[in-house]
Amino acid sequence: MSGAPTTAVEGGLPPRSGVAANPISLASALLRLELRLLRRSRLTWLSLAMFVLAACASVATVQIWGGKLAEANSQAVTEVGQQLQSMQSLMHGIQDGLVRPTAVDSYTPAQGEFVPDLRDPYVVGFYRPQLALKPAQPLAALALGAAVGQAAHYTVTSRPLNEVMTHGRNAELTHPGLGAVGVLDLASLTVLIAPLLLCGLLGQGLARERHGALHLTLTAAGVRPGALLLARVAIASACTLTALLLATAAALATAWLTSGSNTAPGTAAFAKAVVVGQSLQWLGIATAYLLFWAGLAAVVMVLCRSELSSAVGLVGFWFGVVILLPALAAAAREDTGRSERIFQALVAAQQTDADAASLEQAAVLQQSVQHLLQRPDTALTPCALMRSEVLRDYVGRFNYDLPVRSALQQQAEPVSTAWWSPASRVNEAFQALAGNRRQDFQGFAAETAVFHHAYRMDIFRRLVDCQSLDAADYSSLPRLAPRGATAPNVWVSSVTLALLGLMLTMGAAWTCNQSLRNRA
Amino acid sequence: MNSSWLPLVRLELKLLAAQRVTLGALLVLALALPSSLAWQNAQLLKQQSMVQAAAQRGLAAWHGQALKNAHLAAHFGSWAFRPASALQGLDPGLTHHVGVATFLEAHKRNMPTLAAVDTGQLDGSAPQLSPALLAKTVFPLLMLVIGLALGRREASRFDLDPLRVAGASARGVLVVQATLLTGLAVAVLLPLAAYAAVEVGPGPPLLLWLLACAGLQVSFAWTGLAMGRWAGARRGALLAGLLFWAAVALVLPRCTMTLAQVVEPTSRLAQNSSLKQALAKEVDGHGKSAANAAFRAGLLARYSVATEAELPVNADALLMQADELVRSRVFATQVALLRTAFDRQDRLIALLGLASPLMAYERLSMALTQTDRHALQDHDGRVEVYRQEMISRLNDDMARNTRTGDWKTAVQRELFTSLPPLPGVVAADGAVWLRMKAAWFGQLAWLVIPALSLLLLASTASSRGRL
Amino acid sequence: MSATELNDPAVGTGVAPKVLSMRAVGKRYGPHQVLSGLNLTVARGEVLALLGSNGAGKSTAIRLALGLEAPDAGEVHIFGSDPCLPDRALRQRVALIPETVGLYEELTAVESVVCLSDISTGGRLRTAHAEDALLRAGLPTQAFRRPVGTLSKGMRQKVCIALALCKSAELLVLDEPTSGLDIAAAIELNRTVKELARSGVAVLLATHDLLRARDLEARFCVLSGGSIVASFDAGSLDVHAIEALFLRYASTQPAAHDTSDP
Repeated sequence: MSGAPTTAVEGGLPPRSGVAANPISLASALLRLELRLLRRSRLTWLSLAMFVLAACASVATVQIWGGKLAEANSQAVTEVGQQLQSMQSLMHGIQDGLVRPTAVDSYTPAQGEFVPDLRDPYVVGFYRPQLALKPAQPLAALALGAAVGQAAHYTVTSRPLNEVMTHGRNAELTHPGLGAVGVLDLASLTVLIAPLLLCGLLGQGLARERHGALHLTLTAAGVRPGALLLARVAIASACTLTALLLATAAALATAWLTSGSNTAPGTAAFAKAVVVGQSLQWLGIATAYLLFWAGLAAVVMVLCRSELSSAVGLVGFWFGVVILLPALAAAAREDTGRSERIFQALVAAQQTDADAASLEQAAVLQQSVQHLLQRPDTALTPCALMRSEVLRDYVGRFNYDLPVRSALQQQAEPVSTAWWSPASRVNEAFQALAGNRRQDFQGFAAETAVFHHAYRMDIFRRLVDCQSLDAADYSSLPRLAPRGATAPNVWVSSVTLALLGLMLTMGAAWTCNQSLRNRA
Repeated sequence: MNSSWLPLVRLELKLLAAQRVTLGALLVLALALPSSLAWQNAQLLKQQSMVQAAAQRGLAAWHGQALKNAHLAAHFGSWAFRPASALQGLDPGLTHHVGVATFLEAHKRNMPTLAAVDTGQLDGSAPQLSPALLAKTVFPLLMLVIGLALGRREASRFDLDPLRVAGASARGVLVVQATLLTGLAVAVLLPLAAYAAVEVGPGPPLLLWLLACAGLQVSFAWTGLAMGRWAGARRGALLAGLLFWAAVALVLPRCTMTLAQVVEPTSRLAQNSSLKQALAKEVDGHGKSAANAAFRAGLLARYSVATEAELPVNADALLMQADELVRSRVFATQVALLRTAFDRQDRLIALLGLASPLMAYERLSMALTQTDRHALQDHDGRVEVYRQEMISRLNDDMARNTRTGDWKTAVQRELFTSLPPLPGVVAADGAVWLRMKAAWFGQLAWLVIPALSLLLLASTASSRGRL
Repeated sequence: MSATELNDPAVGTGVAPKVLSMRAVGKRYGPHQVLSGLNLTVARGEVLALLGSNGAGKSTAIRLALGLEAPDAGEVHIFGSDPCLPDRALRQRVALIPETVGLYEELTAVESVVCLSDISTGGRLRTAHAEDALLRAGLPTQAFRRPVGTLSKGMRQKVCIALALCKSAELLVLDEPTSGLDIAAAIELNRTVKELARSGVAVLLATHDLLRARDLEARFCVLSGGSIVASFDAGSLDVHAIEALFLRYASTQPAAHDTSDP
């Protein structure tokens, strides 16, 4: 090959180097071209505008609902705390002889306020509330999941389980349509809207460059179609990821401000969670999901020859992955029908109650129930007198509560989400990080039911022994320390999705090169 | 020019027949719609079987319970189950997000949050596979795409000349295309209509549901046609259409819901607090309220006796019933307040939802299938009336047949078996259609807007001497 | 002229080294043999005008010359290398001005030159250099910042020429460049191509515009039946004479295929 000729061109054009462009510089040049093209496209700005609006709405949702739920929990804590404090004081007063508990049989309103005898375990069981509070995760407001409709706290007493655990009793009051429509939290923004942004940035596919004059220009310039595809997908993915990162950062900041964590110790804990663990996992899932979508989009771009078919392909994939597959996955969930077990258990328990073995037992049960209902604030008069009735009542209620507790525990068993619905799995992963999966709440309910049983057993034992409580006993009554949701392992899913996306992208690029080579 | 209509129609049909992918997609959709209805009906059947079995067990438990004092029986309680509406398979609406069972007991009421008493479906995670879901998602998207492709076909100058030579006018072409799209939408719905008519019988609700569904699809199709005509060969028109759909289907409904909650907040704690305050000074059947003493004193005065033992009625039973009436009144007030808040939220949602053809359709669909909030609340109301009647009968029996302090005398079993069954589903009445005026208006508006756009485009093209 | 003489009389005569060489090239599309036994060379500083009827295979010959397609028979070399191989260094030395200029319509003229030049060369062309090239190509300055979609065909061709200048291409291939251009634009294009040829760039031109080709002082080759049937310098021939020659040779079938090297 002859050497480089000198150019006769004036104007200071740089001499040709005679060295082939290395892949990195080619990639850089392609990326710069793609960025310019994106900037010039109206669809880019339209897509970004829509995403920004949706992101703002999402951050506002985080702020509104995060504050609401935090406030509800905080108020529950305050309320129960106040009750406990007053009962603690009353107990001390009774023990020290400063306060005289009211005798139930002779009480009249003229005597003033009724003072329950907290030395009686039966009374304590009724009056002393235990707050079962589901621990809130720092990222709870980012993926609201089941939080808007499920109870995050229960007030546990020794009343029947059915009364304590009435579903929806402590859940926040919301318009029923909210459950059907959902909220636009950060998880929804990532799962539903971010792929739309990506589709908007990639929607024209490679149609322009596959045919006609532009194809000739680029081929003559030595651009391989696979390289162009990779550059286009890379830039669009980077833009989408950047937009999503900004939205995530804004949502995290909002969550921190509204969660009540903006105190010194709270900040430290929040910061630790944010920096160390959960936010990285969140971003990992989001990135993997976007990589998966990039792979899908690359496949569509290779398969579809015209702009219209590219757009239709992307739309079709979006609909399939984000709408159809989750609907099918929900239909295929193992727990379809499981949710009816609670009321079935209640009905079964009622029928058991109705099938009392003998009239005498039924009469005794009636009597104890009668005493129970008539005087719920009964102070324990001579221990031996009422103990048998109270004990029979407790035994009867144990039998009633058992099927309900079993149903709650069964309901809390984890259900795997269909592996073939990536959107469902990603959504679930987000909710797992936020501690707001349905199974998290159901697990909490089951845990509370178990505690309720343990609490009643404790009271029952004291009744059997005819114990009288003192302040020390009062303080040592069982307390609930919810385990909290186990930290989900989202890395496996994330890595799998990311790898799948990368494989699809690389495969699409290779196929693109091959098909055009064969065409040539 | 009239003679050019038939050739135009033939031309459009031929062009459509050549698009196998489009026809295939329409065919798949036409089959998917009745299939999803069949699926939903199968799920409903399963659920209702379970519910009926539970109802029978509950009834057996109620009838067969140990004979006891009437008020104790009132606490033993009974169950009420929500039956499925005839068209629930078309649109499950809110039914998947509320429970089916309500426990009827003295002094207590399931607060009408419609939060699941026995289910835990309130995570809003996944939509239910149903004809309504398909009608809101894939169907309008498909019609949008078809309309768009049709519109951009003749938007290029060079494609128009053969048609102009053939004597076609701008309006004529648009009318034919718009009619073709309407016909496609109706054709796709025919299998669903036939299947649904066989399953539930033809009737006004079904016909109106189909009309609303067809209207939605036609509005998207005409919108696509107008967009295609306007955008022409401009890139990205389809994706712009998708973004429009996503904005009105995904973003707007969720935002309006949250906004409604902010503008018209509802609070569990506030409600609990109100209830507590309202009940504080009232009679308390099981408590030691000061009002109890006044009530009892009033009874003595009414019957002109000195002690409760002399009363010809059971004062305890009357106190229970008074407590029942008080609580029912207080609860009803709170329920009314809550529903008023929900109604105000709904009005705000409807106002904002005018920007979305899908939201209007959703409201219509749920109302016509009796799966919206109002239908569920109506059922709640009927159940509550039944509960009050049941408790009233029991307390009345106790008041008349026993004396004060007597908690041992058991009722006759006939009292349990004499309670009438709960009413089933009440068919939607004319109030539904009236209530949905705004939604019908919204749907109509979303037909008129693209129609006007098409007319405008046709006029503009004609004035420029283009097709 | 004999078949041997017809096949590149410039070969082996010691004139300027060949930039493009096509020997016994054949190309078939399905049952249709488009090219058969095509022999063609273009030397440095030479302008070769390829004439032929519609469907004679001119565009196919150009695609083969650029390595956009591989020949079914024969060899094609540019600067001694096979253009079908993914050789970026080779690509940098070749520029194409197609009949329909393919550029991104939303990019401006300057951006198009910068981006496409960067892709070709792997460097980073400065905007000033791109503007210089556009100026040299004859694009009015007020069009520099306009989107390519708003430029006329002639202006788009100037953008392509500017790209060629930036690449310092040594082989310029033009496919019906004056098709659709007005007279002034065609004259301007000719001027630029002439300058490039004088600077040592080899030019391969497929055209129907005999007048412009003559002005370029091109060597004419008539393509018919899949191979060159005539090759002559315009010399003092006027357009009508060239036209007569073309019509005479364009209907000629090639002689029996001579596989010996010319």
